[in-house]
Amino acid sequence: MNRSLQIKFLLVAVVVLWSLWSLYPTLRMAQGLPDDISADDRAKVEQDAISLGLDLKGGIYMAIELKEEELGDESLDDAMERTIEILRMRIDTMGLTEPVIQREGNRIVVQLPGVSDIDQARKLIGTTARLEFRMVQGEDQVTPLIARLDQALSGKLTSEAANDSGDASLEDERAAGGEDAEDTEVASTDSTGSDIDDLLASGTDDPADPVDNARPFSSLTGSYYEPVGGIPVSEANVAQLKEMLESTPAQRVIPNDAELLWGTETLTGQDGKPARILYLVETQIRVRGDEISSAVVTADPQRAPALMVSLNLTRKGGVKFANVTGANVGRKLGIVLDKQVKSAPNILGRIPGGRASISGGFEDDMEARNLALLLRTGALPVGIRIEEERTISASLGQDSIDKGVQSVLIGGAVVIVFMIIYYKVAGLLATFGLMITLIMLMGILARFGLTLTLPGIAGIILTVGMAVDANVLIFERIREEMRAGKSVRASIDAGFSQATRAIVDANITTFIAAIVLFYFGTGPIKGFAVTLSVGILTSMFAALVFTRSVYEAWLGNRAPKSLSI
Amino acid sequence: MQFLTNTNLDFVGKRKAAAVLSALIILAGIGSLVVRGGPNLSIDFRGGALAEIHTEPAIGVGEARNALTKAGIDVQGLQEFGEPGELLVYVPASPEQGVESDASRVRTELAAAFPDRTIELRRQEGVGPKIGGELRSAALNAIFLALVLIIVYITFRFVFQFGVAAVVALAHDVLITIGIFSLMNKEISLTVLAAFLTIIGYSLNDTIVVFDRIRENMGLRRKESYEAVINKSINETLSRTLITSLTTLFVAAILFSTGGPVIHDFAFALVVGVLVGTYSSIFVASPVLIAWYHWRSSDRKRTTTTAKPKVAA
Repeated sequence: MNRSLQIKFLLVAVVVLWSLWSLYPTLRMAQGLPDDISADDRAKVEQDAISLGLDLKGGIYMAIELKEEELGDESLDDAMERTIEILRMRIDTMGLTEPVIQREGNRIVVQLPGVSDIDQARKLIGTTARLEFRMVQGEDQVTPLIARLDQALSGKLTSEAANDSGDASLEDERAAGGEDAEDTEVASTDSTGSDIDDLLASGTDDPADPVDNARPFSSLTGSYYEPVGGIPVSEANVAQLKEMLESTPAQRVIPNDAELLWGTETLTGQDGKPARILYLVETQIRVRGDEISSAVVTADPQRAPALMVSLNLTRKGGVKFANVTGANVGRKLGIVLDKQVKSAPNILGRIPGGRASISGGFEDDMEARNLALLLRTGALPVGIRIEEERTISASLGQDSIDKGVQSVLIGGAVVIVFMIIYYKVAGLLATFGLMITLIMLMGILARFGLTLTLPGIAGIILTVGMAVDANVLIFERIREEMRAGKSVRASIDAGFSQATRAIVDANITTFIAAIVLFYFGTGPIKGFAVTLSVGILTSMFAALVFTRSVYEAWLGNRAPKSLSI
Repeated sequence: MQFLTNTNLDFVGKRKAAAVLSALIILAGIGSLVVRGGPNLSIDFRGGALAEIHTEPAIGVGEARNALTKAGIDVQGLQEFGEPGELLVYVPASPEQGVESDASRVRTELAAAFPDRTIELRRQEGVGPKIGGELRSAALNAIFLALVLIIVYITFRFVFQFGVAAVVALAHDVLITIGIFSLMNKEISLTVLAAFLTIIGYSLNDTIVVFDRIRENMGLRRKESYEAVINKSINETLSRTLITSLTTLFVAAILFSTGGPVIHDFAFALVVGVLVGTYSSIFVASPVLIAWYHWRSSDRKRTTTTAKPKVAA
């Protein structure tokens, strides 16, 4: 064996061993790690194994945009940075392995592997968590406003109702200003949705009340109710009322220094039906959420076993809080979270020491814990919008892996059987080449931390089909040369040298397509581009270096009369 | 074992018939696209939301739709996905709220309506219209850029008309595949798009192997006519073309049958692409070369007879 041939075999051996070594952590993972392995070792193995895309291991992908209209003076870059920081703190509490939070252009991409509860994730990520202490207006302000609203809306409504309520002015209004309220509203209707539906399912179908044109507003509401500090509204009427309040005539009569905000809690109304409270809240913010120094969950002494969120304010915040409570004894303090009233307790006296608590209005303990967490990590600089989200359950991911592996095995087996029948010994050689190709492909994925996705598995399967192409080109050419009457040695030489050109040209063009895919594609598609392009390179290596070297070694100085091909 | 060796089939002579066949399939596809008002784009490209629900024992499409509509969900599409009980529900995504949609309510509402069944959310996707638009233009850019780079590469390795012929064949393949997707009312999603780009790469692979042989034979067989050289080259590479197509077709077909519903359309596009790509490398790319040759040589003849009469004589 001459020197250059020895070097080639050495190269193949090194590459294959390197690939197997790179694959070792993945193989250990696949077999299941022993229980007594240390946490550090486990993390290292997981780190070094082939990383799976969310579509294979299950999880949530979100692309988020900031609401730039809320930015104010802050630059988008700064707001993005702060948002990422806060989201990272929030997500860290979920204890996930390898969550991703990163900026991509003007979006933030969040990947939460292993998480499947999309509602929970949306709350954690999508909640702005802007907490404000604001005073709630009493009956002396609310009752006259109801009258003014009735007056402003009467008459106007008949024409609007005929227009199917999707009147242009309403739409404009929503686009211009009402967006906030809409957005934050969604989460709460979602969360309370199941309760209402239970009621609906039990037979009491709640139609909205008919609208009295003489007093369109108050025909849908109760009158001011002192114990709660607002206007009770039957749940069935909420949607209609929201639309009414967004209309221009209604906005016009609401005083500038106050706004109508909904309570988060669904109560049971006097008629036994679910009801929400509409509060008239001052726009002036007395104490802000950024003056909170800590927020923890504690037992609620008045509503055991329910929980409440206890807040400690900063020194400055504490002074403000003491002053506000001192000056407004007897009134209600609105605790406003993202433009919704979380609760509105009575102020019984001045509260010194900077301590406050939020109690009631929690659907479950989880919500209380979440709120404490959100208040601890702070409010997002501006509201966010989820532009894209994809959730894959772990079971679907596992399914995809199983089916993918099955396809690779069957596809590989069919191709191998075909190659051996058709090309005999040469086919067997191609089979070894195929195995080297796949081992190298997987090894490269593991070593360079490339992510395997479902389309990526498809790329591997395609590589199985196309990897033999290089061999087919060579073998066909060798056969052709032999038919033309050349010797075995000359045929093999000509076969390789003539086929190499076609192999390189053909593969480079496919490679170009793969690179373009990688450049333009997102997540799963990138995974496909990766396996396809790496598969092209490794299969060329297997055919042009490995197969060729085997033939050259076999020929040596002999002049064989026949060739099994 | 060998088959199709030393063939001498007259592919070039059939090129007019092939052109008619291609034209018919492409026209049918375009007709279908016109009737349907454009390709059937998935939510990846047009925005929207979907939920994939696994139900056991299986809930029928009709009952599921009834239950969801009753619960106030605007069901835009509901279909069985792969197997009975696997439901794919499409709902609109609100442009103002990003992608927060009714998709997450689908599972809870079905669970409420069918309390005695196991109902599992397998997958949920939401794409805002803005991202949908961006993905759409990125897809078009990707295809365009891939085609340009390929022409540049082939011009560099062969000559310009080979690049043009290859791209005509590619456009042919992609048009037919899109047309067949439209005829079968299959959705074009991000993964299907990836399959289209693979088809581009694959079909090219085939075409280049034939071109490579033409390039080689042009030097060797100077006395034979252009058509004869091309026909000879196609015949010489025929067994390789068919064997590679066969192995690739095997695996694409296996992926189609065992790869699961998520990858189903992707695999379908590959199967179609392999078939069409093989056909086009024989019946489209080479005939374009011939047409180009005749166009250029009649051009040249005209210039030589008029401008340089002495040389011609």
